[in-house]
Amino acid sequence: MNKLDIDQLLEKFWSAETTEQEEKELKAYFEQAEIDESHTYAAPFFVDFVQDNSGTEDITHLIIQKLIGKYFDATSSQEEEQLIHEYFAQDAIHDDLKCYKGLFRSFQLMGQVQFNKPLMLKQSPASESRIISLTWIRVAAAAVIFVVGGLFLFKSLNQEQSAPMAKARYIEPENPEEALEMTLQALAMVSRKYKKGEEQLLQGMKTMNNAKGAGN
Amino acid sequence: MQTENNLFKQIDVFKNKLFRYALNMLKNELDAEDVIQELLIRIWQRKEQFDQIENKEAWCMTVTRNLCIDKIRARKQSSQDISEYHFIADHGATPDIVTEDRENLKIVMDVLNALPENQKEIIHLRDVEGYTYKEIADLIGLSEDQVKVNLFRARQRLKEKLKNFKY
Repeated sequence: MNKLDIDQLLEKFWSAETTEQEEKELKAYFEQAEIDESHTYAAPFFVDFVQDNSGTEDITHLIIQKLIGKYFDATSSQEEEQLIHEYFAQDAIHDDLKCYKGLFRSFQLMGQVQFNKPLMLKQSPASESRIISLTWIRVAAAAVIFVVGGLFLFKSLNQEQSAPMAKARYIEPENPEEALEMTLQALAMVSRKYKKGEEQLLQGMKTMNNAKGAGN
Repeated sequence: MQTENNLFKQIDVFKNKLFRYALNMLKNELDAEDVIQELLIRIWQRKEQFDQIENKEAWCMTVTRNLCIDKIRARKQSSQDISEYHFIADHGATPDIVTEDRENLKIVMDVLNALPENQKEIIHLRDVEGYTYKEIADLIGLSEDQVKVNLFRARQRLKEKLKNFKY
């Protein structure tokens, strides 16, 4: 197989579109000695780690190689990804896997960012409630102005109606005789008003009786 | 009556996730802090209902996401750079490792920034925060299959871009 064929097969492999036969062909290619330099990065994905029995460290690295294959295919489980992260968090990384170290180390660093500021409102709840209180104070103030204004208006109108009485209060008797005279005048006025009212009442009754008689 | 301290203590355990999520979406530390503040206000305004919420983390992540989207719409998007990761120098590593971390992060971040927004978001939720497909699907409003497809595409893109870099 020439380089172009391998490029195309790899492209299909990364897109998870290769058939079983094509994957066998890729495996055969990577197991032979003459691998094009541009393909070496993919070699770890086609090494059969079961055949490798050179020690625990190698097996670990081959397992990680397999897991990384699954990782890039987005088929790895959370537990498998956890194993990958743990592997790259330690120092003994196999040469074949060093190309991935930067990526997983960066994820690890990104996960170390912390929020160190205190969790508190810049505008404290106390000041928030102050704002609410101020609103109520404004409402209360408006209500007070309305009530006071109303009372003032009521009083003003009342004063206008009772103005003669108010003026009368300023005429003060200078001696008992004058006081008696003023009292008699006041009583005479009340009597006149009463008499007038009585006459009006009698007039009204007379009219009513006339109307009653006419009705019968 | 619920006090401010007691109320916000309930999100203390996942506040870092919320902040990282906002940072990942907004690419700016100050904006991410603003979003956390907005979230606190929302929680305070609904303090009675908040106590009844069963999965507070999921609720907070959703509100954070919505607030981020509002903020993104309100401003022109910029690229996140590693200046937001100033803490790298503080974790006690040797200067060599700090330099290596910075370089790695710069490369990965450039690749991530070139991804479509939803793919970048899914990579963050899965690879940085370790959420399940279902949790991611519920949060961003996609089906689990759509999440898997987007994750597959994003990781393929990452692999394609990163294979050219020598670490």
